[in-house]
Amino acid sequence: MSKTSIKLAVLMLLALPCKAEVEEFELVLKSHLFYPSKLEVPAGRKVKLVIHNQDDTPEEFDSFDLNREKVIFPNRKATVYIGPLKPGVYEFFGEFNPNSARGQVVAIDREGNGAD
Amino acid sequence: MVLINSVILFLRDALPVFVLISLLLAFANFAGRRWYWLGGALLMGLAGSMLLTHQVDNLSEWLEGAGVEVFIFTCQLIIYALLLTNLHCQFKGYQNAWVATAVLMVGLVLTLDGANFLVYLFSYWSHEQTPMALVMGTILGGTVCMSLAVLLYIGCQHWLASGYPLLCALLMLLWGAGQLSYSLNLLSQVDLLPPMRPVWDTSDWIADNSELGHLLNSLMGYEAAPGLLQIIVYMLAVLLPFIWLYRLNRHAYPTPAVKGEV
Repeated sequence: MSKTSIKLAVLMLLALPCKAEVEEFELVLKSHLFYPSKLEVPAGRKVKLVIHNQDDTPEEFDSFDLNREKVIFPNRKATVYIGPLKPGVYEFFGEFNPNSARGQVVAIDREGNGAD
Repeated sequence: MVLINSVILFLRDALPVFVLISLLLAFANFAGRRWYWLGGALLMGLAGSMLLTHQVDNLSEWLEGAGVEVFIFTCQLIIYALLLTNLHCQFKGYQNAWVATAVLMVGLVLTLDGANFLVYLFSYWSHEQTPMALVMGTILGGTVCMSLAVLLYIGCQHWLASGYPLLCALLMLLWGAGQLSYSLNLLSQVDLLPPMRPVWDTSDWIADNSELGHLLNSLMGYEAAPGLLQIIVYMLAVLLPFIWLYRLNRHAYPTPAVKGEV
């Protein structure tokens, strides 16, 4: 095995845990409501948010606090990466139904501190 | 609530198109071009937005769910390249190329922004029985966009007539850089770019979700908490072409006294 192959293999092995470290969280949209409406995620780390739209109409996941917007089509799942976040509360809403589809991402640090 | 939401969505999606069209019309009018190209651009944009609305569901499944973001980023790159070519043609006086780039640019921007609004429109109509609020919201949003576009058009006309075409060019560059910078954030949300850690946060002064925040975002891509990569791309996308246009302008435009001969 050449030196280059070994280096490549080591790099790939090093990259694996980096990918594996991204924790996954799921949000469900049903009857224009987000479940759970308050989602706790670890602060200081990038996390993967999988949003499942179980309604028969599209919805746009939108958050000015998280700087994210993504349209989720009926009965489809969409993935959005958020963070690393400082401990605190981050509002999100469904742009097509902002009255009902609302929720919060609460970023909590290792000591369990989040904003109220 | 539907009324307010329709107004906000229409403003968010339509205002960037109105800004671009008013800037292009000011340049076109100053150079004595007819406005026939706008009809073609609007037709292209409407057809494109309907096609994209029809296909965006499938597009969202491409590239492990990153299809829409990659598509928008690619389109924004093309739009920015068209914008630079359009400004070059404006300052060099290439008529046909100016019209072609203007048509493509407006067509593409309308395709992207129109599709976003059409998804909402079809979603609403599929389950609501009273479309009056939606129609009223769209009319109100359209009126606000039209008013702002007319003001911008008059301002640009004044600057052009006063011999300051670079001010209008700067507005176009700010608009284009803002669109490009915004699309970087989309790549970050699907993990194709590293997370954008905010360099500063001006939310306390002008929040992204405020009326002024929406307006500045449409005009020049304002973001309260931009990432470092966004700032670098934005600055480069504005400054480099502006320096290049400044040098071109010294040879391209006559003084205001002889401008009426064009």
